[in-house]
Amino acid sequence: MLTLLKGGKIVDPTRKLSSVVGDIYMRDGWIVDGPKPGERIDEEINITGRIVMAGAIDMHTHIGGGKVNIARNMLPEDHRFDPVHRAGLCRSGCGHAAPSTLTTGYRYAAMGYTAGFEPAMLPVNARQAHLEMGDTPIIDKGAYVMLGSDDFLLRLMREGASQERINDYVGFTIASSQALGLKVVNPGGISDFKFNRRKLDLDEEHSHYHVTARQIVHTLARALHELKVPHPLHIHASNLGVPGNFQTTLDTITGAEGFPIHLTHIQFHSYGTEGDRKFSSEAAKIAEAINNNPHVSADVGQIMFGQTVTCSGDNMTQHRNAGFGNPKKSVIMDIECDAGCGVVPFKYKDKNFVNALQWAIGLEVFLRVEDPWRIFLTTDHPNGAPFTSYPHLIRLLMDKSFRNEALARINPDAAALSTLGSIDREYTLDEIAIMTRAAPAKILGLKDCGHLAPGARADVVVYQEDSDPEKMFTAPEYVFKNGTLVAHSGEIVAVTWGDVHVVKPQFDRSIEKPLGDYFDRHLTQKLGNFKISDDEIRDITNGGGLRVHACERDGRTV
Amino acid sequence: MATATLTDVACPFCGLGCDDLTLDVSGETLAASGGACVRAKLAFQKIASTPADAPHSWVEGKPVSLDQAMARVMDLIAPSKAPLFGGLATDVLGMRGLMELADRTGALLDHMNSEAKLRNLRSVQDAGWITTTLSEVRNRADVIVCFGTDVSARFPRFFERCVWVEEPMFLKDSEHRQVIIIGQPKDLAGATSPKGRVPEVISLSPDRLAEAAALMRGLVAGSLPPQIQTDLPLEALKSVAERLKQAHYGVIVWAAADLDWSHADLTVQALTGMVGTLNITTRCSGLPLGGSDGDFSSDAVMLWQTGYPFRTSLASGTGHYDPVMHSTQRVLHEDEADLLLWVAGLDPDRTQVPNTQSASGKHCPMIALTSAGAPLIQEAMVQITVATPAVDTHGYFFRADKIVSLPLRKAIQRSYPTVAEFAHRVMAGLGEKAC
Ligand code: SF4
Ligand SMILES: [Zn+2]
Repeated sequence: MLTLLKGGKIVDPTRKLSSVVGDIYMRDGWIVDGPKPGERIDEEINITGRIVMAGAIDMHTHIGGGKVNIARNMLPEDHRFDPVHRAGLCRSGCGHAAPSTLTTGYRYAAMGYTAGFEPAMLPVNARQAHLEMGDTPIIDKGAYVMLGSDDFLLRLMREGASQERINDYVGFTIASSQALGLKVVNPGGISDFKFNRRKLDLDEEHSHYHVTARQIVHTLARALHELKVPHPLHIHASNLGVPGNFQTTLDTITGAEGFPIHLTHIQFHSYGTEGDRKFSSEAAKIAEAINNNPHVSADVGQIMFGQTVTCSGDNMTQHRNAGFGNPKKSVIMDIECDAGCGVVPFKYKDKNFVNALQWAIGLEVFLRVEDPWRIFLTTDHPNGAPFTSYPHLIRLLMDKSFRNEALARINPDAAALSTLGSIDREYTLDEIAIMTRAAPAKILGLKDCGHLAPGARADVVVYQEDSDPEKMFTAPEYVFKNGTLVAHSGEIVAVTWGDVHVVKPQFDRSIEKPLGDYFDRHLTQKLGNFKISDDEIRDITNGGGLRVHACERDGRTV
Repeated sequence: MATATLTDVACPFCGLGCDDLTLDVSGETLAASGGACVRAKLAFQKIASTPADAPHSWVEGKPVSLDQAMARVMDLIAPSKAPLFGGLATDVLGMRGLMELADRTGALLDHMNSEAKLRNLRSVQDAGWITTTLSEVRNRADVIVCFGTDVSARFPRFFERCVWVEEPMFLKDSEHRQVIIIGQPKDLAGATSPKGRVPEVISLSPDRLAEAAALMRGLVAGSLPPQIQTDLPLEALKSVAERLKQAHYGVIVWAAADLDWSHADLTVQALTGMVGTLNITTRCSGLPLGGSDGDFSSDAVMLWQTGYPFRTSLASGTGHYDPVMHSTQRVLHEDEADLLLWVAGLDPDRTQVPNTQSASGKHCPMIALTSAGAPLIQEAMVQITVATPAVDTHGYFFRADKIVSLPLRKAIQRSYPTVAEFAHRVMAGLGEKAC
């Protein structure tokens, strides 16, 4: 089946096409050059005047795994206001802060997103994460598996194990949990919380293992580099939310010593201690550091005002912040000598000084980081806000006067402290296309996603141009997933099941011997049952496939 | 005769989800060994011992073919306006199938263990809690308080796997752990240390436990009046509170099913509130054990697919959660369901079925899906033997701490439909239906 999208304005940053009028051909799920000699075009859609882009990719969104289900369990009151009825091809569900998996898939697709990546999959909870993602229709999925507070790694580090041995363990964990990348969350801190530690700085020693967060970050960043995993270490740095934590963030960058790293929800890590309330923006310093370090990338974790729920592996921080919960309830867990989690509902208010400044800090980071290839559009769904707020966020970035109107409504003290109003930058359509598709595909190593060149997956989105970007990005006219028209002007017209993206790094399988022994002696599960096979993934994804990406990477960046 | 030995097999016959079993398959017999407890051995054996050619579908108690049974199922489901899916003892794949059918038919979903689960759930939805998982208990817990729960009776291998282990990572040894039981367990064998140290028991009858929990919470918080009047063993409870404060990692264990009195959710809140206070200065966690009868497995699927836990109705075309109005017993009693699909697809000894007779004397017709080895259910219009995960089919099972889910393997070959296949067959029979 050959489909022609005729005459659209192609925005494809990977090929440096900036609203260039042209045709796009899709055959059997892939983008192709054009008809073979004598081949008939089965379907032609005239998209003259429309913008066409690759499907958007959310590189950091909590869509699967235990903490999201805990959030669902805790918040029936939040779901009640966003019921989703069974209609047309779509099953029922619910939306808002922690939406049902089904609704998540439909809503992402209707918004022009064709892939979303769960950033905090605990190794022992990986099966659940895949089961939930498997029940998330249409979009492609994948996950970054979490290490850094697991006792096996900390034991290896304490024993002074070689980097090679650690690489084997990292490789094993990625492969056996079917992950695309690796994340570290409050390095060492989740573990030390179990020893009653309440705060762990980058250079403080873990009270039991005597390793530092800096060492953990460096070791894991190096492991990924040596395993040639495309996505660099995904770091939720120490001291999240703590005023003055910008210094920790800057030190984390230095601590990686040139190994590529990705700093996640950087907004929560860009705080200073200036001013009467000892809470201020250091977005400028953080942006400068990103600008000056080409091996560093970040996603923002923008907050938006309203009700949401924060789901994090960082139980140390979540326990500290539980008192700010709104509604006031929280679930905090220590998990399996492996990790932890904390779920705290939150209501960000524009009249609240701290929240208003958080909002401004996020936008400042967006606007001050110069290279759109290294800064990603996220709200850390649902931690900063549900993903459905992306079109609004895009407008804030593209429309200065709209932004300044919003700035005028927030807490005046926060507005006065922020330099946001003085920033003139407006994101261009090309830059939005970079940060929402081309760049995420590049940084995750998804060679056949995020662009529209022949050979790419036919994940294609057609937008009706509009002077209001929020309107434009809310409900694109056509969304194709693997060549199938799945959404039309906000309505789901076909329900497909996306693929799971993984990497399979090379490692020495002999690591399974000490690991198996460790599982038998200390854990409550067998290593064989911990591992998730390819067949299992195929079994639980409702017919979606498994896409393995190559582990290859250029040399050390600096 | 096919023979095989499967190792590292996961067991779904209580929430503990032990995965170190060995299964010897020989024709149609299945012998569990390795770590298997008596309950597991009996369950595997009982399910497997039904000959493949024995009757496995019944209409009004008479053996029929599966096709005949399905024809009757369709007669009942197709006109149903208010189906109730109860029991829900199944695994993740079974529940996925049932959820599709529930969405399609506008069913109300409630699990056989909901009443107990709600004691925890109400507490979570109101205040939240701090909890832990099996391996953390195994390696860290220095003071373990079993509250009102006969842990060994519900989770036979709990102490063996989580307490009396050879090398806890963060304790000198297991022998020095303190185990304190508040309540009246049947026997203390499991809770007794390998060297014979019997646990401390504060013997209280169930009707005193709510009070005891509240008192302990107050003792830990230091919020009680100095001259408190109580006939509870105050000094003993004080000592427990003190030891929890001194502990590095205390754990409060309970199974909500054992807290069987009205408003027991407040008892759970007293316990979790106490844990919250303890965490101001030290570490302490709750371990609300559950997961038996697949209750965490099917609940997890409901949660991620609808956003709501059990006792959610899809009758209006979207999820409507009501923990009181949507109880199986109430709905049947008030004649609010016109069909009960009862799913008891794991432990064949879980034979209790709800009373299908309403207050006005009407009987709600019942379709029952049961494991091989389960007895015939008198009230069932149709009964179909379904493939049991871990015996006849593979599957996925969430264990007691809700975090670890285990792959269940197929051990023997019989022709029973899986719960998901049953659901898909019904949906195919219903055909296209506009929403
Ligand atoms: S304790 Fe429970 S899970 Fe373990 S073998 Fe016995 S019945 Fe199975
Ligand atoms: Zn996140």
